[in-house]
Amino acid sequence: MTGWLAAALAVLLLGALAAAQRRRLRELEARLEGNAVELQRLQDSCARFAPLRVVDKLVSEGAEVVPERKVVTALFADLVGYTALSERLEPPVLARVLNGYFECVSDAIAEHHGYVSTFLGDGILAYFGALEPNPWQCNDAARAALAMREALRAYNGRLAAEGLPKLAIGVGLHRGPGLAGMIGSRERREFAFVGRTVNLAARVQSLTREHGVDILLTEDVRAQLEPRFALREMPPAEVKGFKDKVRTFALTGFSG
Amino acid sequence: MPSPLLSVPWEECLLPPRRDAALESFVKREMGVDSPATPYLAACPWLVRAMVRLSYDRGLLIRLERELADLIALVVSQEHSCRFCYAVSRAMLRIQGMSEARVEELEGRLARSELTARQNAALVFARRMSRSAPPVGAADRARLAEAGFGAEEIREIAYVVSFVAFANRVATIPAIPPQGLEKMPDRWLTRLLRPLIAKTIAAHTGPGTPVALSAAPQGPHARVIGAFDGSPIAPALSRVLDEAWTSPILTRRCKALLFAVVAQALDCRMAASAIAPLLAAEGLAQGELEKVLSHLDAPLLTPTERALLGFARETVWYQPASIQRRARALRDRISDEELTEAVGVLSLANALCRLAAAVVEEP
Repeated sequence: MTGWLAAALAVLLLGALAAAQRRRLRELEARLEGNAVELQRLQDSCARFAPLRVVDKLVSEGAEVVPERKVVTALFADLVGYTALSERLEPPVLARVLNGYFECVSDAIAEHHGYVSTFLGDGILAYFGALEPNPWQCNDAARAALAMREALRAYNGRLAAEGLPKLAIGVGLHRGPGLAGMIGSRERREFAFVGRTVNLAARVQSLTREHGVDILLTEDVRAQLEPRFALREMPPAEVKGFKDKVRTFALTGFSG
Repeated sequence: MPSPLLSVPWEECLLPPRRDAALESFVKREMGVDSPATPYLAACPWLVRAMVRLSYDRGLLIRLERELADLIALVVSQEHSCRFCYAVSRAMLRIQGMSEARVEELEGRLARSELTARQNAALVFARRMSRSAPPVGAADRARLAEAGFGAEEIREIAYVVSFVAFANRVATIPAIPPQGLEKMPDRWLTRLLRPLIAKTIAAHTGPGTPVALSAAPQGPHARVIGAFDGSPIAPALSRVLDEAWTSPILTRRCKALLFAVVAQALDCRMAASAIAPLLAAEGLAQGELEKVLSHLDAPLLTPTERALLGFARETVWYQPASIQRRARALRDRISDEELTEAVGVLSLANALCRLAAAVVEEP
C-alpha cells in the first residue's frame, strides 16, 4: 500500500514538474517572441534615422563593415533662399514643407542607386557607389540630379496650390576617392564617406548661385558621363580650400 | 513566431501562366511532383528544365551532407528575401515530416546562431558569396578549409549557393506566386498524403556519384564547368548552358551582353574576360563593348537590348518589391517570351559570376 502511495506521489510530483517546465517553456517562448518583435521595431525605427540600405548592411555584415578606400560620386544639394523662407513660415508649416521636400528628393536619389547619407539643415548629402561597387555611379548621380529637379517641380505645384512659396535647389556633383565605412565616436558612429571629394561637391553646389544654374558637376564627373547628357561649360572658378580654379559644367538635360 | 519573410511585399506575377503538357510531364517525371513555377516559366522551356536539372538535391552533391545544403538554401533565400524559395524550403521540411513548431525552432536556431562551428563557417561563406560585395575568393575558401571542409565540399557549398541565387532570381524577378506553397503543408490533403509525397520526392533525390565529362568544356563558362570535373554538377551545368545559349528567343549577342553587364556590376573580371571573345565573334569589337558597358546604352543596340541592359544591373543587388516594379516596366517593351528568357539568362549570369569567383583560381 505504501508502495502504491509512493508511486502515486511520484507521478503527481513528476506531473507537477512537467507542468512547471511547460509553463516555463511557454514563458520563455513568449519572452523570445517579445524580444523578436522588439528587435523588429528597433530595426524599423533605425530605418527612419539611418538609410535603410545601411541598416541592412549593418544587420547582415555586423562588425565586418570596416572602412575602405573607394571612388565615390558625392551629391550635395541645398535649398536656395532657405533663410528667407524660414522667416516667412510658421515652424509647423516650415517643418511640413521641408519634410515633403526631403521625401521627394530622397526618393529621386534612391531610385537612381544613390543613398542619402545626411540631412544637413536644409542640405542633403548623398553618395553613389559607396555601399556596393557601382561602375555607373556618375550617370546615376546625374540622372538623380535631373530627377530631383523634376520631383521639385511637381512638389512646387502642390505647394503653390496651398498658397505656399516655391522652393529652388542648387546641386553639386563631384567624383573622387575617400574613405567609406563606419566612422565616429564610441557613442555615435555612422556610415560615412570622408575626404576632399565631399568638400568639393559642397563647394560646387555653392557655385550654382554664382553661375545662376541649378545643377553643376565637375570635370571628373563629366569624363564618365554618357554623351546624351546636355552640358554647358561654366567659366573656371576659385573655390575655398582648393588651390586651382575648378572647371564646372551645368547639367541642362538628357536627350533620351 | 512567423518568419518576417512570409510578409515580404510581393507583386502580382508578371508572367501569364500557360499550360505545356510536355514540360509538366518532364518536371513530374524528374522530380516526382509538379512545380508551381512551371506554368509561369513555360514561355522559355530551357528555364523550366534548368530549374530541375540544376537542383542540388537531385544527385548533384557527392560530399556535402544534405542537411547543411538545406540550411545553406534557407539562409541564401533569406538573404535574397525570396518568399517563393523560402516557401519551397519550408514546404520540403514539412513534407519530410517536420512539424511547423520544429521548422520554427530550426529558424530560431539560425537566427540565434545556435549552430556548430562547421555549420557557421559554411553559412558565413554562403552569405558573403550571395552578397558578393566584394566577390568571395581564396581567403574565404581558406576559412572554410580551416573549419574542416575539403576542396570538393567547398566547391559543393559554392554550387549550392549559386543554384539558390539562380532559383531566387527566377522566382523573385517575375514574382512567381508563393501563396499556394505557403499554405500547402497545412492543407488536409497534403497532410493525408504527406508520407506518400515524401516517399515520391525521396525517390527522386539523393546523393550523386562521380561522373567524368565526356569532352573538355568549351565556351565562356569552360573554366567554371572544368572546376567541377568529376562531379555530376559539371554535365548538368554544361547541358543547361548549351540549351540557354542555343535558345532562339533572345539573340546570342543580347544574352552575352546581359552576362557582361552582370560581370561588370559584380566587378568579376574573370567572367567579363571570358564573355568578351563571344561578343567579338558576334561582331562587337572591344572598343564598342567598352562603350556599351560604360553607359549601358549605345546607338548600335537593338530596342530589346536597350531595354534589357539597363535592367540587367538591377538583378545583382535588389529588394523584391523594387526589382518586381522595374521588371513590370519592361513588359511594354518586350514580349513575355523575351522577358522570361531574360530572367533566366540574368539569373544564370548572377549565379555563374558568383560561382566563378568562388571556385576558379585566378591565374
